[in-house]
Amino acid sequence: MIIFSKQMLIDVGFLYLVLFIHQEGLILGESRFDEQVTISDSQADHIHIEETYNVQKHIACHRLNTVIGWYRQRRNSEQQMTFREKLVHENLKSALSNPHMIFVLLTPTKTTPPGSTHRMEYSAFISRSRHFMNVPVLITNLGLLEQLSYWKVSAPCSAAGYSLTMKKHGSKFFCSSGLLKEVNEVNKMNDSLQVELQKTCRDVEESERLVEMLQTEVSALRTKLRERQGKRKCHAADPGEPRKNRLLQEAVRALLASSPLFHTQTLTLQGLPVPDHTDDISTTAREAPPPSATNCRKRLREMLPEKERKRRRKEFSPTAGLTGSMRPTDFSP
Amino acid sequence: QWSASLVNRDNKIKVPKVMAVSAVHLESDAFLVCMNHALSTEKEEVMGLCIGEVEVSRIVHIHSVIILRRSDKRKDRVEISPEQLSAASTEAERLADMTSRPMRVVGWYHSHPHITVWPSHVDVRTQAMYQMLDQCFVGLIFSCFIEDKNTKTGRVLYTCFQSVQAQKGSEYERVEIPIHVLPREAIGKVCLESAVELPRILCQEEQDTYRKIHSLAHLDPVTKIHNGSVFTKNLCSQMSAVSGPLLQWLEDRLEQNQQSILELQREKEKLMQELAAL
Repeated sequence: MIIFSKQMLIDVGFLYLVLFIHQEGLILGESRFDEQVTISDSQADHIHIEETYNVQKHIACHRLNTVIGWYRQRRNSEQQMTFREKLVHENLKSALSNPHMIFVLLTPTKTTPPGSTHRMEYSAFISRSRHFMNVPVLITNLGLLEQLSYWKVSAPCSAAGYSLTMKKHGSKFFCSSGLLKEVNEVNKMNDSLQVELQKTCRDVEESERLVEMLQTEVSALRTKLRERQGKRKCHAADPGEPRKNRLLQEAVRALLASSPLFHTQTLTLQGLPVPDHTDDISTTAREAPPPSATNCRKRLREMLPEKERKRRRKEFSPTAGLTGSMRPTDFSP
Repeated sequence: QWSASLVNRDNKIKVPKVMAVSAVHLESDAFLVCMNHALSTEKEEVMGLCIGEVEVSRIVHIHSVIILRRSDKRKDRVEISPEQLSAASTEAERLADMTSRPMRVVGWYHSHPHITVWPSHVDVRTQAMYQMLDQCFVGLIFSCFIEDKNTKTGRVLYTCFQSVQAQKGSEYERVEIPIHVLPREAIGKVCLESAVELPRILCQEEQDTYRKIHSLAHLDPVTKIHNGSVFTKNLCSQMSAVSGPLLQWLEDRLEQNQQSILELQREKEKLMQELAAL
C-alpha cells in the first residue's frame, strides 16, 4: 500500500495541471515491511507480508539516500506504464539498489468537450520479477481515523469505592481550574504548530515576491541586452557607413601607389594639369569660356595633340567615368 | 443585485435562458487552496466561497477563495449562512482595496468525497438561489477519494456549473460552464493566508465542540477524561494529517524559492556585466 500525504498529491498533480509542463521527479519517504501471521485451526498458518510506502515529499533533483520511487505526469493519456517508463524503472531500481522502488503515474484529462469538467487519475506501480502491478494508494486525511464521539451523559454509578477512586486519582488528570491537563498541553502544542505555520507562511510569501521581482528584472535585462546586441548588428550591416578593407587597401597602395592615376592632380578647365600649386586657378577659369559636359571633352580633344590624347585615353580607361582626384586612402570595395 | 423581476407569478425563481457567464478562469493558487481543502477529509463535505471579478467578456475570474466552517454537517446540506456571506463580502472589499480591482464574492465551492462530481438536485437548487442574488454566481464541485477497485486507480474530478429552469416542470437543471485553471508560477499572499487558515478553522471547530460538551453539568470524571481523550485524539489527527503536511509543503516551497533567488541573482549579475561590456 502506498500512503500519500494529500499535500504531495496536490503539489505534484495539480501544479502540473496549472503550469502545463510535463514533470518527472523522485519520491522521498519511508518504506516499512510488516509480517502478519494468521493462525487458524482449519488450515496452515498464513504469513502475509504487508509493504507500506509512506510518501512524504517529491523533488526534481537527486537526494539519493531517501529515494523510494519516482513519478511522472502525462496529460490526456492512459493509466498504463509505457515501455520507456518500465525501462527507466528497472534501471533506477538497479542504479539505486532498491528493489522496492515505486512509480507513481498521474494523468490529467478533460472529461467534457466544453471543458467544464476535468479529471485526474493517479496510481502507483511496483515491479516484481519484471512484472508490474498496481498497488492501492491511500491519501492521508482527517477521515481516516475512526471517529470517536464525545459522551454527553455519564453512566450513573453510586458505588462508594467508585467515588473514592475518582477523588484519589482525579488530581492527576485535572488542573485546579477543572480543565484537563492533557487538553491544556495538546492545545499548547497545537498553538505552537500554528505559530510555525504562520511564520513559514510569511517567509514563503516574502520569497515568492522576491522571486517575482527578480524574474521581472532578469527579463527586462535580457530584453535590453537583446536590443543592444541587435542594434550593434544593424550598425555593422549599415551600408551608409563604409567598411574599410585594410588588407585590400594596403595591396592597392603597394601595387599602384606610384601610378599617376592615384595622385591628386589639379586640372585647368581645359583638362590640363596645373604644374605649379601656386597657379591662380580662378584667373585661368575667368579666361576660359563657361564649360558644359560635352563642351569640355570636345575642347580637350581639339586642344591636345594626338599622342597626348591617346596617352590620356589609356590612363583613364580602367577607371572610366571618374573625374577629379582619387586618393588611395579613399579606396573602398 | 436584487431584482423583483427574477421571481415569477408562482414565486419560483426565474433564471434567465441566456447564461450570464461564458467561462470561469480560476487562478492556479486559488485552485490549490480548493484542492487542499477538499482533500482534507473524506468523511464530510467541505465548502468555501470564491472571490474575484466578472469581466466584460462574461468571464468570471476567481482570484482567491475563503474556507468556511460548516454549521450543518449533514450529508448534502452544504449551505452558507448570511453571516458567512457578509463576512466574505467584507473580505472581498479588503482584497479590492489591496489589489485596486473590483473584487466581490463570485461563487462557491464544495466537495463530494466518494460521490459523483455532478451536483445533486439540492446543489442545483442552492445554486439557483444564489443566482437570484447575482446572475454571475458560479458553483464549483470537487469530487475526491474516488477509487476504481479493479485497477486500484484513484481519481479526482472538478466541475463548474450554473442553474437554469428546466424546460418542463418547475425544477432546475444544471448548465455546464467551461472552467480553465490559469497557470501562475507564484503563489499569491491571499491564497497562502487562506491555505494556513484551514488548520486554524479545524482547531476552532474542535475547541468549540469540546467547550460545549465540557460545560455540560453532571459529567463524572471518567466521562470528562474520555471527552478529553477524544479532543486530544482529534487535535492530533489534525496536526498529523493537515498541519504537518502543510508545514512540510511550505518549507519545501521556501527552500525551492531560496534556490531560485540565488540562481536569479547570479543571472542578473551576469546580464548586467554583459550589458556593461557592450
